[in-house]
Amino acid sequence: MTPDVRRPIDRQMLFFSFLLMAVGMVWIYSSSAMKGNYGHEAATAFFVRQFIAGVIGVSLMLALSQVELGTIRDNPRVLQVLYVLTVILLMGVFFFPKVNNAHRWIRLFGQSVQPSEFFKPLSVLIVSWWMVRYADAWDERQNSIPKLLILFGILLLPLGLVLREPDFGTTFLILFVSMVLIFLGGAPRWIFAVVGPVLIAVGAAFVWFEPYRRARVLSFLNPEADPLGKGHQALQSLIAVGNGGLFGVGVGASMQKLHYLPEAHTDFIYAVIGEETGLIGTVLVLALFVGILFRGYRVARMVRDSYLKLCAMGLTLLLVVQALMNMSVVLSIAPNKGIPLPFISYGGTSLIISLICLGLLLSISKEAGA
Amino acid sequence: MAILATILGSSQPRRLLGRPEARERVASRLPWVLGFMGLWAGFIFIRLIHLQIVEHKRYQIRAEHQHTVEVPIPPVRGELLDRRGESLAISLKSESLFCTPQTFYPDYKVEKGEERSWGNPDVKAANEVAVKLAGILDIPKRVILERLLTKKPFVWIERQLGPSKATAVRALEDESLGLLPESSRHYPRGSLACQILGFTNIDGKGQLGIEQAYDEELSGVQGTLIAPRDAKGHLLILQENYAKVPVNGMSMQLTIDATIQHIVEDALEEGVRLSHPQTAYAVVVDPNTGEILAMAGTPTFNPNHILPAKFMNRPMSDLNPAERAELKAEQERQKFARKVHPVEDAYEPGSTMKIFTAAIALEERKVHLGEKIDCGPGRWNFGNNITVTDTHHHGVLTFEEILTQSSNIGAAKLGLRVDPADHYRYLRAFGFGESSGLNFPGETSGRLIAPDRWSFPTQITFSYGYGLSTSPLQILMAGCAVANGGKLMRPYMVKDIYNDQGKLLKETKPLLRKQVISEETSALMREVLKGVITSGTGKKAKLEGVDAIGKTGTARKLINGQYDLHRHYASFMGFFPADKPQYGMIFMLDDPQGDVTGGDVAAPLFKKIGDAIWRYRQNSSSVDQTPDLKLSLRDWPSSESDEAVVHVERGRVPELKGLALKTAIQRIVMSGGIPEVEGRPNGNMATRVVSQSPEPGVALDAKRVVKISVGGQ
Repeated sequence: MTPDVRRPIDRQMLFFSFLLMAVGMVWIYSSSAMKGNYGHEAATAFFVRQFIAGVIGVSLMLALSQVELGTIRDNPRVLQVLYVLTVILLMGVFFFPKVNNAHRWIRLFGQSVQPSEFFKPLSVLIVSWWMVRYADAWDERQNSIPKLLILFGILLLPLGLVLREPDFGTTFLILFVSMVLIFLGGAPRWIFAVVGPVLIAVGAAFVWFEPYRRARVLSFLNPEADPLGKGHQALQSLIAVGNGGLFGVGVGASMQKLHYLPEAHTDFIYAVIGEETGLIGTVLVLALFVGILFRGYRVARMVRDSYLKLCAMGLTLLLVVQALMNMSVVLSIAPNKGIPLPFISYGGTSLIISLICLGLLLSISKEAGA
Repeated sequence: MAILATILGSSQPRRLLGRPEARERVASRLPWVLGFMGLWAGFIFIRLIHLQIVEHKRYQIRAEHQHTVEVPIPPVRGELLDRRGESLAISLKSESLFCTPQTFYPDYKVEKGEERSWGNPDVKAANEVAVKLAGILDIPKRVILERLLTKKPFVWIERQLGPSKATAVRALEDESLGLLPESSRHYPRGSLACQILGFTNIDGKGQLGIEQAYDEELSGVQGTLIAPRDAKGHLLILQENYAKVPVNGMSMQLTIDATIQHIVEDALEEGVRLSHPQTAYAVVVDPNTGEILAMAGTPTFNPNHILPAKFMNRPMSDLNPAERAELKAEQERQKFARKVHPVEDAYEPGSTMKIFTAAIALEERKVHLGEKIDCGPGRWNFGNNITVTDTHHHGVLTFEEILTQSSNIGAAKLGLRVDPADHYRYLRAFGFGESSGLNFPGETSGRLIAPDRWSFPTQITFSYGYGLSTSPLQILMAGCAVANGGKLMRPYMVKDIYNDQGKLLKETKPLLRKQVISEETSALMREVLKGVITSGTGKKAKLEGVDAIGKTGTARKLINGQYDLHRHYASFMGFFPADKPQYGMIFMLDDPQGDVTGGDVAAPLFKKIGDAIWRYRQNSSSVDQTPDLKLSLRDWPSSESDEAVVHVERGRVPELKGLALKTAIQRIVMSGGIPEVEGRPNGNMATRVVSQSPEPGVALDAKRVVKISVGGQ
């Protein structure tokens, strides 16, 4: 193997991410200890599982930070293989029983895996590749529309499956990041004037005709209307964050995690952080994600290759958009979509995928400024 | 890593792809994305400030409101102890099971105002719960089901469960069920002194005797604890944060001596066995202070089980006719048993009254010792066709013999020597026709009419005990005044009142109501009354080892306005030791069969009690003990975490060594035994059991007594 002559990885991004992971470990323990007790498990059960996922994720991250992503551009076979595999896995989930009313997991050898997570980084690689590969087409109106439609078709199959699980949050995230990549990749601006409203209309209809989604949105708009029913989660989350105040009630002292907050250790872990550490903690976590955003943006600016530029921005957005979405739900700025907070929320697959994104970003960062 | 590199084709030479224009376009559009993300993050930042700074107070109040719950903390009812510190009534922590039936009504709705619509019940779900509960509670499933489906927001299923049942119910973790802490009353000595002590109803309210008279003092004040709880309603009590501090009930040390009470109750039972009276009762007092040492009547009841176990939790409709009749008879019997005859019954005392006639005449100097009075042929017509009769033809009797032979004619003649107004004044001074001052529910004052309403023979009949009525306690106190030097004392039963920390709050001091007769007259009367036992009607009352004085009484019962020739009150009132009485006693049999005179049926039982008391007195230190009266919720083992659930087996002596006194008593009660505490608790918290008998693990014997010795640590 030829010696690696590239620059070192982006250490700040790595630092921010690891700090977030450390925060995650603390609050997974804090918010799940009680749950472990009720489930007749050790208080540390969730923490230990997350820690093991973290070790696996960090190994994968280290490995991926050494690959050269640029080679994919000329050799899309890898993407094709991964795409097919992911679609098979996404179909596979329907053969497993529902958990929490959704087919999101594949259970093998006692371990649960969430295939929709795999598609997140893959979608970034695919869309970026497509946008760079057909860069010529974007200036020609006749050519650009079929090319975009084909891309849309490629995305439609896995996204349809994810939506079918149903997992509206992940679908929205991937769609959102893909749109941004299409925009960045040079697609004509008028397309967004058309596609934007259409997607919004389709989304609205999609929400409206599924009772449980409609209920979520309605409860989001007016959580106090039914504080014990649909608005419960939103309201309890606000109470947690609001109760925290400036300095919080103290680490470990959250009361809301005692079953007032459903999913205190996953989707609503940010609320527990808010209650226990107050504004100091919530702003720190927000700042760390903004830090990742800036470092990712810097990599995207510095790297010369446009494919890597798109990949860098796409992977950064995957992490940061997901984080902001999660926070928006916790703070009742957005309706509940069931999206975890990257690096922090409990969930092995989610953590490993976040670390994979980070690994790929770090590998791109080596090209930055070269 | 090498494999990955191969897959990704890193061996291929890298080259720049993508045209410069595309790269520039990406670069020019990147800031737009960053800007959008920055705005989003900024918006979240503003929202955080809004929630955590601006709205913080509002959410804090809201959080506090939902995180805490006010838990009522029931006070522990005070203990009742005898004068030597033995527990007569104690309170143990227990829990009561309730149900919220709306959980079984899927269509339950709160309508406007107080209206509720219930809809149809989910019988299947309720049935499941009922089956589980029936197994734990020993109540028929049908009864439980009925309670579960009662259309009320709150229904008791079973009150005052023992710790093991409560734990079993808690393990069900059923949403519709809940447990509330309560305390249950136990009477370690069973039926002993039941009428004096009384009992508490299921709501903890005193129903009879001391429990009723001092209900307010004993029950204490309910407190409120502010406790954090999780969303499932589990309480997380880490510190005691009271909104209102509970005040435990006061404990009372009674003047009753459990041993004497026991002696008396035994004697009463024997009296019932021998003479089959309707009822028999007795009071023992200290004549010098008015302290009631024992008071009992037959029949008794067991305050621990007001209803026999087989009738518990069974509705009337459930019983067959025979059982229904049995229940009814039992309820009648209980009603009868709850009557405290010595204070509630007013009766015409008969011959016992002659003591007072003689004492008044002596005090007024209308007669002197040895004076001869003609009692004639046993029948004396004193005008208006009214005659007084004696049982024997006494002839001429001395003053002393009138009392020892109990001559009605003699007593009548003595009475007539006294001015009626003085006679009345003295009787009032002896306390007749007036409440004795004992704070006891249902006490009677008796009846004594004033001289302006007296008819011709009134003073005569008063002289030998008819035409006026008195309660046995009243006449006993009057008798004490004759025996103790002329002092009428107020009787009392509550000696000391302590708070739950063992601090003495109130001490009852003997109260002199009146100096009725002089010391000299009293001394003369004592001499005279010795003759009743040595040579008169009360020979069967002669005690061993100590001289006693007393007077028999045989009174005809007034039934429907007519004196019944065959129905009597047989009584004996006596005091010992004769020269300086320390014990005064009245023993009564209401309508005895066979022998009917006080000298024949009541005097032997007086002897039985008197002998036993005297022996007991010789053999034990007479020091009254001040017991450890500290009460606190934490002293009692809590029902949930109490290891006693595991250790205590019914019918077997539990391991007690090293336990705190209260815990030990509770375990003995739980095992079915009767605790008997030896040694003197030294009054501080660290009172521990140092030895026990029988040894742990031994089966309880018939008496079920478990003795424990305590000492300081």
